[in-house]
Amino acid sequence: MNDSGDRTRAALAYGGLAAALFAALAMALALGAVRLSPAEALAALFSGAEAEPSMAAVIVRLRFARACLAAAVGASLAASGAVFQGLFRNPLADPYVIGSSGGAAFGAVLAIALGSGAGALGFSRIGLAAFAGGLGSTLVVYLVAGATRLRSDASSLLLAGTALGSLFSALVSIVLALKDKDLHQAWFWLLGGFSGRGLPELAAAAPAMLAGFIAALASARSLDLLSVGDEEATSLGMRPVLTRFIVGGFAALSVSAAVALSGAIGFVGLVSPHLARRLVGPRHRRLIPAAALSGAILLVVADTVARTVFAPVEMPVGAMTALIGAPFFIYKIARRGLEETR
Amino acid sequence: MIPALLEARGLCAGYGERVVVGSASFSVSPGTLLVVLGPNGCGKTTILKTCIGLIPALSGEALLGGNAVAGMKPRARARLAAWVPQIAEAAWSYRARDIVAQGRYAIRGAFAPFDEADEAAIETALDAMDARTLADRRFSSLSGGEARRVMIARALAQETPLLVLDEPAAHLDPGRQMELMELLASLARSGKAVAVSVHDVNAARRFADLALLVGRDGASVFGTPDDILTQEHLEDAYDTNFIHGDHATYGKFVLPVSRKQRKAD
Amino acid sequence: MKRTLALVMALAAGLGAAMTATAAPAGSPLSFKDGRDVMITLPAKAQRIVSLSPELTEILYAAGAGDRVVGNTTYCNYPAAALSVTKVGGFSAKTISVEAIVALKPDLVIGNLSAHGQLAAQFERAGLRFAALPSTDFASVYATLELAGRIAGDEATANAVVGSMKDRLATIKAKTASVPADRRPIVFWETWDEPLMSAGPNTFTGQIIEAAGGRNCFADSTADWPVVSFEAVLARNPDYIMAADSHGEALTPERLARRSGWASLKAVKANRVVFLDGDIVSRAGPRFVEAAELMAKVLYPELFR
Repeated sequence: MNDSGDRTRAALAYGGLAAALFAALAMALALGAVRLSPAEALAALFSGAEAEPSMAAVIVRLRFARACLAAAVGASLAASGAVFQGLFRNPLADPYVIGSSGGAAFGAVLAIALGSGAGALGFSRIGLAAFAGGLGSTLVVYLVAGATRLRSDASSLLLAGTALGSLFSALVSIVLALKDKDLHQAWFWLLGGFSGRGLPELAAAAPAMLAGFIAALASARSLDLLSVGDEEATSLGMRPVLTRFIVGGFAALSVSAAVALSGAIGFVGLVSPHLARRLVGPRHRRLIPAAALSGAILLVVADTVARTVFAPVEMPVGAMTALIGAPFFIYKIARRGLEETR
Repeated sequence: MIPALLEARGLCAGYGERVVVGSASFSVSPGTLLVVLGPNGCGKTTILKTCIGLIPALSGEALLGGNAVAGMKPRARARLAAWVPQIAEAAWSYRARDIVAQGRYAIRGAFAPFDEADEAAIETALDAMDARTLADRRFSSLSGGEARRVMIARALAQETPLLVLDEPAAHLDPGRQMELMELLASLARSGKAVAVSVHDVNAARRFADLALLVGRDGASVFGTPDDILTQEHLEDAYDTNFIHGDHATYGKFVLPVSRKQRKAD
Repeated sequence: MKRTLALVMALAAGLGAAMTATAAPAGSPLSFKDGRDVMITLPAKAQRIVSLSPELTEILYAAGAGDRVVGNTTYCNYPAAALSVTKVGGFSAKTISVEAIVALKPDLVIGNLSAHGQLAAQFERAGLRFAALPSTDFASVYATLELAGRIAGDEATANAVVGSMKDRLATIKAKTASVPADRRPIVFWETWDEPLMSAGPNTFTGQIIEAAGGRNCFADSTADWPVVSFEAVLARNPDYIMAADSHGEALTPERLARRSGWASLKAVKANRVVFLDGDIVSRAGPRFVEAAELMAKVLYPELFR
């Protein structure tokens, strides 16, 4: 019986991931546009709350907030990516597969075009518009898929998601053409990043992201069953369509909150589940936490690089994740021909 | 008389507008092995899937444990009937053991953690199918026959009174085919109700307690093998000329000779 | 007596000749080189002009050619008369409708060299006379104003405007000359908040900050609209935070209070957050000097009462 060996392997993997996350967070605190010596940084970290914090303290706290944001968004996108890959039995599914990023982008661009007004519920106006757009577009995808039920519920959802994604892309282009003076603001928002967002924004998004994560964990066994196909899963006693609706809905909620915080950052949600599968295997009870850890690490590192490499100018985080994620993905594909998934 | 576990009444199976099997009536009780026969494409798989609610019936009804299948929730159906499809593919690299563990969903549900009873059921099922050595291998790397053993193990782990299998003997070597049929027969003897579609008429006659013969036109006849597997019924159903024989040790058998000549094609 | 009369007549003739020399008669051709170094020849002063930029529109009106503008863009909002002129497009080249321009039968289309230069081939094919004028720095604004006076409006008016602008800027320079470079106030110009975006030194805004006697917080940026790290803003601790009034809602005291770490900035503590009319601070047009003056007044209240 290999189970104990299996459990040891999993424990090692989790330990390794946790250590890597810790290292990434430490790096995120130490590096940035402003040079801080390790001594300064350490002192600032433990300096406690004073009336007039030193510049180093403010900077370290800022970096800490930023690292928290990156870790939360990374974990959220990765867990949702794992969920969507499981729901659709598709190794190329990412968190935006049922259209939430298109709607979020449209909401955000519309808000940018209408000016920087006040927000609500702790979100900025753009964040709120992105959140509403993301949820709204997911809802439309579900309605369209339900109305046009194809061979399988999964196919109709994916197709509706793709179609709506294209529709929103077009709408975004139209808004940008009409209000083309705001192009660079919109462009940077669309590329994704954490500039200008801090702990208050994270607090606003946290409930949705947490709800999504808990739902993802709870759906572990259902996702395992879905891997053999809708019909077999039904014969085993589950309801694929209902599961896809509920679990997908929670995942979309989580993704919309993440996008509201940071724009649609790509690759994290696609690559992290694959990385996690290599480390802990395909069973979702292990996969989802491992993917979340991997996503957090990836995004913290990407954000650190983005704000350090050409300081004081910040690069878009989405470009960094692609730079890190794409070669890794290509290497994986070349080496094992996606054998992992069969 | 033991009440039937699975009962079909005038069950009409098909897809949308297309009727595949028209008005089939049959039943399976615990301790019985029902064999479903017929030429390719006649609807063996369709009628079995319809019986356990995987496909909606076009008309008529199917009853599981006395209740209409149509109105039952998937989990309730899964407590009564375990389905073994012909091919299974897992999207991810699960081990055979993980696949067998899926059978426990009907009992445990989506959230309750597995306990010793579940682990024991999984081990027992693996043993019954002689699949211990396969347990930690990747399911996708198993041969056809090995994979099928794992899937039957999953059905056993589901601990249902009824087992429904779709052409489990397909592509198996003759010896393995017999082995499988013997296994199914012994499961029936131990008290399960088993419904299985097969292609081999002789195996059917040898092991079945009851037979459902589905013809190309969707009509079906149901009864004991002796009643059903007659010259007339077989020639009609398979559109083939058979030689009927009787071997001292083997018993009755049929051998296909040639396709029946069609008058107009 | 005859000699005096002859002298007077000669003078008069000389004056007359001189006058006609300076004011080109309505019928003579005008040539000039545009920003692409292409020689453009007009048979006479332009009568029907389409302007593709808000700044060029303002320049035309300031040079006395306002009544000859037959087409402009949706962003051309100054002076008020510009609002009712036929619109041919938006801000960037992609949104310009060549058809709409052709329908107006202009004798000259003027656009921004960097934004509309790419349309030159299209205009040529459509038979339109196109001049792409640069607007990168103050000198180019003066040059364009003078050119506008020469080819479309009134030269005297245009030259007067240029002269006044140069004078006013020189005044600011003179008054702030005594302030050493490292004592000049640092200005952080916030173009946008999410992401945090500033203005580089080569943008008009960046140049105005320098002209007003301030120092651009991101004078070392190579990009025009850099997304910057708040850490860098903190490290440079600007004296003033400035923004266009259209971006004002993002910089209210309540919103600033919600931005983590911003309370440490001296500009925030002293509430030195200033808004300027976005149009005058980013347009390479005749009003940029106003922006410089307003900014200088804020930065050096004692020097500019």
